[in-house]
Amino acid sequence: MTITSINFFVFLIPSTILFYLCPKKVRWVSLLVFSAVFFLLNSWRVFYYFLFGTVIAYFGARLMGEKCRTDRQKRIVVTASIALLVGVLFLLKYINVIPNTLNAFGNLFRLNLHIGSVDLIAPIGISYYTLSLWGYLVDVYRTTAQAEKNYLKLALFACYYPCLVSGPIIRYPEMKSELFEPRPLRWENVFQGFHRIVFGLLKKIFLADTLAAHVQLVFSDTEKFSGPLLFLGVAMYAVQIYCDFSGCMDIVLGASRLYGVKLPENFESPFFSRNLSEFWRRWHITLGLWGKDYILYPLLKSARFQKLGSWGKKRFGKKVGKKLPLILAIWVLWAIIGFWHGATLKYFVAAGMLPWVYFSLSEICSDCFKKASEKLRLKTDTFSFHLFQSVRTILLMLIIWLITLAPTLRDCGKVFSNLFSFPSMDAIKEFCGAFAFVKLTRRHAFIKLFCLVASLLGVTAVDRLKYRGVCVGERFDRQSAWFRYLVLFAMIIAIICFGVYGPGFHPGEFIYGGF
Amino acid sequence: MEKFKPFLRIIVFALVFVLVFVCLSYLAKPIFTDIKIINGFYGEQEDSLDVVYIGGSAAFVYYAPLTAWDEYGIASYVYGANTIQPELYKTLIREVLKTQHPQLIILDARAFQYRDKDSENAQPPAEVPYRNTLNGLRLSMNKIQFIRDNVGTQIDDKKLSYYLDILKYHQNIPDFKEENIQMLLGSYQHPYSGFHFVRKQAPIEQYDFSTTEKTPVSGDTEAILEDLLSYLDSTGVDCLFVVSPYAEKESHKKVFNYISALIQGRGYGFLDFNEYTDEIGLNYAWDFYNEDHVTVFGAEKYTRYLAAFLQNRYDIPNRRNDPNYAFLNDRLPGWDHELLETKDAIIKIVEEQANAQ
Repeated sequence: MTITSINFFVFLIPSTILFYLCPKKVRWVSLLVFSAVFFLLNSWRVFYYFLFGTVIAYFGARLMGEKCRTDRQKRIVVTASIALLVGVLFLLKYINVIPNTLNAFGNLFRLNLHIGSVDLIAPIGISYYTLSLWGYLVDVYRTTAQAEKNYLKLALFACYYPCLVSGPIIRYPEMKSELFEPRPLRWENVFQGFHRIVFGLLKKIFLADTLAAHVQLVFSDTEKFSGPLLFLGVAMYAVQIYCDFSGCMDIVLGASRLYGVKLPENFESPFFSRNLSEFWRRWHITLGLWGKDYILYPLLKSARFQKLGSWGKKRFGKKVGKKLPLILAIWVLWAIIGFWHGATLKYFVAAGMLPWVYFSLSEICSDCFKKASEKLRLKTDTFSFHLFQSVRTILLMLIIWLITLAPTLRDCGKVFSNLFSFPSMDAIKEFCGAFAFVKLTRRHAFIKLFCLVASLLGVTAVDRLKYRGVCVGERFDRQSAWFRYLVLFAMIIAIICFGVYGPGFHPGEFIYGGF
Repeated sequence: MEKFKPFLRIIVFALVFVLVFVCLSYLAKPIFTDIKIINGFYGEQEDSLDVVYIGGSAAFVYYAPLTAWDEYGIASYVYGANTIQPELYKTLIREVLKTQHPQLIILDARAFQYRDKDSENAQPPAEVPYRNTLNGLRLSMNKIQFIRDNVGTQIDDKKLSYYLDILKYHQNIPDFKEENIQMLLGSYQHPYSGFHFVRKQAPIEQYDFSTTEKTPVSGDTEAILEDLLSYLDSTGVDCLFVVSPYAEKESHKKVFNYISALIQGRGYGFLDFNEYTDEIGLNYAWDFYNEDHVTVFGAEKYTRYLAAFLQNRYDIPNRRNDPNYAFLNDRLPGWDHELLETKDAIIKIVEEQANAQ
């Protein structure tokens, strides 16, 4: 059941009504029931993995909270619990890395190892709930959260169904009050949730899936669709992946809002970022924060990294010594994130190592940049400078996406070189033809193009407002009814008319849905 | 009042949404021959038809209701869609009986012969034949029942897009035509009472099909026929099964012999017009455009023969002078014009073919 399917809404609407029909105190139980049903509908054959994960987290946390007397004991319990959780995740999602790597090495030495891969079914949202439970265990270890005594409450925290599809990664201390406190019916929650779902559907079904046709076409033959078409293709992919993932988040957050449960934001206008570290603070926010809190900071605080810092200061001076452990810890963080994105060398490099290189270079060169801009007397608080910085950030991200779109890491060089050649007229015509799924009349083409451009401008305007700190949902709700209805129905009509759904059309899976 | 405002907001939204959705559903429908014929039936005046001829192209390029009206005063409509499947007959008859009380329903029997997938000219149940008919039908319990009973069983497909065909056709919306709006408003009328003009011609061969042997249809097809006959018994409407003239072969005839025995055994008429081609006056070198279909010249001959037969055998009244049926006269100028144009086009084709030889 994908969250853009009719089945999902058939599930969502009655469950919302039932939720508010339940007495306030037990509404969280109804959420647990809906989540369990959703989970079983999607992954009933492998639900025991989920039971295993939650039982480990439950007893691990309770052991730490109630039985462990020393910090060492606690550390052993938290490490063992996390190892078991991650072990299951690794087994189900990344086990094939081992035979693939061995086979690849075998090929290098002309040995035909032919080690077979294993096909294991992973339950829905395993990456997301594993990270959430990992965070919960660490929070209990740090005593920033108390061990939950009610197993069912912990189970709801782990399997809250809007989060199962593509996150966000939630944290127990933040979600405790949201999930378990009595939630009265507040109409603004219902309306704002609904508006957000419609906006998310527009982004996903119309924008992302329409652009996906171009992206697929371009990257099916980068030699043919070279030069400007290839650049356009990767730029479209940037918009596609953003609309896909943030659209999914809008649906998820909107659906959750219907129950009055506010989930953490995962996107905050990333394309307006001035630099890459700001970009990563605004893109997949919950993963970034999770990585910082549960990987980066523990590493930096660890004795070995402290020692490394002291050693670096002595050897290379204060500045470098200070940055050395940070750069190394960030390498570990990005390596994990790269691996999480895909268990192949390509993803490891594109989603892990390249961002690390960017970040390290910006850390190392930040002083030089500062001095250079002072010497050149650049006005850094102007719109034009902000625009320059945003374009630069996006271009750097396009390199990452170009690598992820290349068939393999080996092909990246070829794909990059194709950026600097010119496509044939036939390729240009074919590229323009991918605009539609049916043979277009002029009227159709004009209306579709108009809707596409208007929707993209709308998404940009909303992001711009968000970047300025405006709460768009609340502001929209304060507008006159006529305006609200006009915008809402314009979006609904665009989705119905041009959305990629139904038989004969192949809507793309959520790009982040596979994790 | 403040307490009810949110509910009011939801109700208003839901109503507007339903309205928009219904409008878009109609604008999305692809406008082809089939949908025009099926939906055009709703434009017929209530209780104004004495004969309804149901079938696929073996009906709507053969029987010309406006020729039957002009020359015999028969008020009729030819109702169906391309490659129609016989399981749709019951659904279409139910739809007919909602607004009409015809004296006679004629059913094309060729659909039973080509339904079985191992028959020589097989056109078994598939998505396209189903959609050809269902796209034009208004959403009703009758349509829902057909989808529920047949989609997923007779054809391997999901039901949802048959209930809500906008899921299939939504990208057509910007290309909507005048007919889409007329269908939405319920004002669409078929200009030729269901007949479809084809501007083609080709000489065909006539085969010797005479045989008294019988080849059974598949159990599935026979069950559909039996069910249809039982349904007809329950309605009390008289029904005639016909095989319109085409390049019939012996293997086809054996199937028709089998089903005619079943039909006649239940007290309904069955006529294979291939046995009357001389009386009809059909010329196989001139009156066909392929082995399965007649040109308008052939259609005129077939319609005249059938209309005369209906008046003699079934006492179908001549309503030519009935003022209540004057609306049919309004269609005649358009009919005559299109008929003439089609005939001219066919003559041109024949001349070009002759010149080329």
